[in-house]
Amino acid sequence: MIVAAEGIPNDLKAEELYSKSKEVIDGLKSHGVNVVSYSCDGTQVERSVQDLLVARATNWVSHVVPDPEDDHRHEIRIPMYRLSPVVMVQDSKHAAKTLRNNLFSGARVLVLGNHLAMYSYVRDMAFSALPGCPLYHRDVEKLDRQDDNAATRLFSAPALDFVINQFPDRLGLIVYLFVMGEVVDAYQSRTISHLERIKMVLRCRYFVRLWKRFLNAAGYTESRHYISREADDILNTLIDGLIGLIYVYRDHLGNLRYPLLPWLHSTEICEHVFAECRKLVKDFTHLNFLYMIPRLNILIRAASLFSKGTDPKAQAMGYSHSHLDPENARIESLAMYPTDGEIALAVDEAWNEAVTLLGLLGIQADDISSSPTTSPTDASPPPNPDEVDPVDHPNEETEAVALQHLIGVQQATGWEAVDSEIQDHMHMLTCASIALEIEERRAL
Amino acid sequence: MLSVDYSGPIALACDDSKLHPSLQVVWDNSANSNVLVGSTLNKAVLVANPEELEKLLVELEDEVATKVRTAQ
Repeated sequence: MIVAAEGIPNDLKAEELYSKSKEVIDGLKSHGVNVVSYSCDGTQVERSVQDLLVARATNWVSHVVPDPEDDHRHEIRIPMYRLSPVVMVQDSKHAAKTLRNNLFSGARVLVLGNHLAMYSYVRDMAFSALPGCPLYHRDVEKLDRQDDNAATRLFSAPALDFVINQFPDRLGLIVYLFVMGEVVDAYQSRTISHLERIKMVLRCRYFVRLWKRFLNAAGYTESRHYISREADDILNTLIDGLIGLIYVYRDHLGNLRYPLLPWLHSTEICEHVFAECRKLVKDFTHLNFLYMIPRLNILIRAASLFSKGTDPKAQAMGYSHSHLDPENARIESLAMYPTDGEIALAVDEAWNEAVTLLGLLGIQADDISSSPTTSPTDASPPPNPDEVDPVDHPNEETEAVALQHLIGVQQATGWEAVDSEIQDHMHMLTCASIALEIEERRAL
Repeated sequence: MLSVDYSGPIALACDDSKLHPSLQVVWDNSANSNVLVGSTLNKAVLVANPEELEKLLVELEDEVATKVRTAQ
């Protein structure tokens, strides 16, 4: 439903766009329309509008997501307009294109531990004679950087499956496609639970945090070896936006429980409307647009009733619309929201998975300090792994020895804990001791 | 929304798209006058007669909308 349309010049600043957006939000809210999210694409000016909408609100609601690291605080601050929260969301399909373009950029090569992720790897996939690759030649040659379908194909499960089977040593690309693809999927999937979505986005959050820390510690400049600042910012908005939406649907919609369909919190509807306009009049004027509105309403309504998206196999066709296709969504499961306890567990799982993924790439999370050691500009070259003393953790060694001693004493004396809590504690200590020993042997 | 008795959450999205820049005159029943559409003034520009239109076309030469921004 088109609620506002206005002719604007090319060079409108964020400040002016902010006033227009605020007027629409306030207007809708004053008429009892419960706006819960404000989506936009990832352009700098649109992101600035969102920043202003957050900064200039008079009230905010905050939710703190537990963080696995003590020195980090993950607070999601949602602005309140007319006493109800409005979550800032980025369009997930635009984010997929941005992440694809970052991977393809000639100005940077993504360094993920001992591995790389870069354009030539994807080109090798598309031009591979081996069967099973979902990429077309046109996805990598004379490519359309705004092609939704090509981005979807790149981050799809078959593409990931293909690179895992055919190029198993290209772990950088595999992990990048997996972690970033999961963030897009957290919005686009019709079936997975909201708890799983939280885990997917948090895994990415922790992964990029540790990745940046690694680059910083190893002396790689972020401008050349990490995704762009814009892409990083878009990722943060996507992650906090999804978690924010889940909190709002869970806690701020009164007694009624509504299903959250995250793929609808996007700018796809805007692009869909503009695409319908261009089908009617290719190069339309403002007056053409005003005349088209009644017809657009019918066309969009028809598209909603038929629930049909555009051809997913299309190449270099720019926007692809799938937001009206519910596929096999189960509305009742999309109305079930995780508790804070479940979210805390998801945090731990997401952290462990991020650490494991980095481990695959040759980055040990324990080896990179949480506080930045050196700035990228004045950092020394990456250390040679052969020169690094693998066992240089005096405190851990002492703890391991002390732990082993305690367990030895318990076994020697045959002392049995009667209390189940103490038994559990002893069991955990034994596991910790084994883990430390394995880590020590691995390092040696 | 009233017709389907819906008062639940709504997702708002904003985006813009390119326009063919043009100033056009159209009859507006509610204003009972001709109005000029396509400028960036974002208000109804009433046009009383051809002379006024000619004057407005010169005045608004640099204020022709090149994009349409929608909220949906």
